[in-house]
Amino acid sequence: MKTISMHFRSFILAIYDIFKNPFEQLLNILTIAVIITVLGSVLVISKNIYNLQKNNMNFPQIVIYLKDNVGQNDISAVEAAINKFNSKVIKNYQFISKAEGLNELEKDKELKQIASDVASSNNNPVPDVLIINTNTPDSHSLQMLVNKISKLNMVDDVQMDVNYANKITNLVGFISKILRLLQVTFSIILIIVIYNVIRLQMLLRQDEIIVSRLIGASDSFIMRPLAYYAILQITIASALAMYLVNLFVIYINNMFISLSSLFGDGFLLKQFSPIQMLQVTGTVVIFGIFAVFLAVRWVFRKSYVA
Amino acid sequence: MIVFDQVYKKYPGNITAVENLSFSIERGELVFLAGHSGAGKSTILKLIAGSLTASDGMIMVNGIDLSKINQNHRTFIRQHIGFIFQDHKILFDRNVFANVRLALDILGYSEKEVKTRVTKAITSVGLEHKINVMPQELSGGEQQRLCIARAVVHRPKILIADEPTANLDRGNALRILELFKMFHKAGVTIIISAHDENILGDYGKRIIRINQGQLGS
Repeated sequence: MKTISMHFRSFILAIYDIFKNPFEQLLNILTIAVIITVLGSVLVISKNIYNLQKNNMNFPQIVIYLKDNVGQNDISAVEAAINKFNSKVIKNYQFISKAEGLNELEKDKELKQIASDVASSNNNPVPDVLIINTNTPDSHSLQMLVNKISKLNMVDDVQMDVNYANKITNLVGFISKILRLLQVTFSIILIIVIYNVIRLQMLLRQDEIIVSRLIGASDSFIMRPLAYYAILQITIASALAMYLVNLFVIYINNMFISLSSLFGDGFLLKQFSPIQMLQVTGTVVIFGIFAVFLAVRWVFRKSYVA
Repeated sequence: MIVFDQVYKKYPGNITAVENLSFSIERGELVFLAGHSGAGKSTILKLIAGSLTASDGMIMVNGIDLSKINQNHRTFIRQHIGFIFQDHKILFDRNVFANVRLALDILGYSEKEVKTRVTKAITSVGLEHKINVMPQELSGGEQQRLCIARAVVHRPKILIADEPTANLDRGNALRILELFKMFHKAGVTIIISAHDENILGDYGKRIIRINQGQLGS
């Protein structure tokens, strides 16, 4: 009961501190909110790039040309072998028979005449083909798969645009690195800003802290109102930041809306879910409490009280 | 109750404030620490309160060896001592009542108890008519009485006062000493430091003289 009442009193003191100088507190809250907004926007972009990578990007296809003389049993054997290979790399595959291949050629305006000649000669040179849609831009895994397929008896040739895969891997890797760097940078900036806000608050209350310490206040007695103060400020700033991140996503999506026909619906950025918002707020609140701890230690060190 | 045994205190820069000091104070005793400015009186009081730690030697307060206790225990010791600071350490952003209640807030007293005890403490030092006044509006003697109220509000067993009569005229100084006499009668152990021995003469109490951090004659 005593502990609850002490927490309640600290909470009331924190609210009082915020309303005592509303303009200064608003500036603090806006500063924290802007940094959380940038951090949140980077997180949203990271999450969406990951989703695009998983669902929407055209990862390289592997084209398997089978030998001329393969029969239905051989085709089934190749399919069975593909099914045994790494399921994480292979999304799906599609068989295109000689006849279907020739049919496709006939649809091509430029190759229509040649295809028709071939068809009339009754000697179709188009091979049976298996096209594998892959599930990853990782060129190393893809090359390993190509090597395994090449070793199959009935396979004449295997082709894959490794360059394309490499470009995709490098581009995604580069963007991910930049986003990670931005996340770390803004997390550090956030800790420093929160630390500084709390430190300034402690400077304003330094006399009270030193006197309290001299007459027997424990660390928790001093830290409690400051922790509530930080939690209140960060929670308000986070709520504002989540709203700003949503505005950012809507703005970006409006810019991309004309491109969505090229990339499909998945190209639109997805908002944070309520759980993700709580996770971001919770993490920032933990940063805040950590900053309070550091700031209190700093003032104690300056107060020369054992 | 309070025992100093061969205590040394050195500040950074090898400045010796207390050197080979030994004395003891009994429970319920009223003792004056006398000595000129810079003799080491404040250091001794802070050592008793656990605000400073000894460089060497043993300090026992209520049977607890202060050199062997951690931060939390030192905080606990401070909670059970009333300390009147030489520079008052009044908080000027709040009124008399709020200044005095701080000691009780630290100990987690309920609002009802805070009100009762603070009013009693302020009345005991004669400031009941200034309970809602800001400290800036108090005279030097009144500010000192405010400090005494804050030091006694949680009814400590030990009361330490660092130069409580400094900067006060003789009349005010004597009134302050009368307050200490009243708390002493209630069984509180009181240690008062003072550089002006003339004012202590009338009390017939033990005087520990300090000279350059050592016991003087």
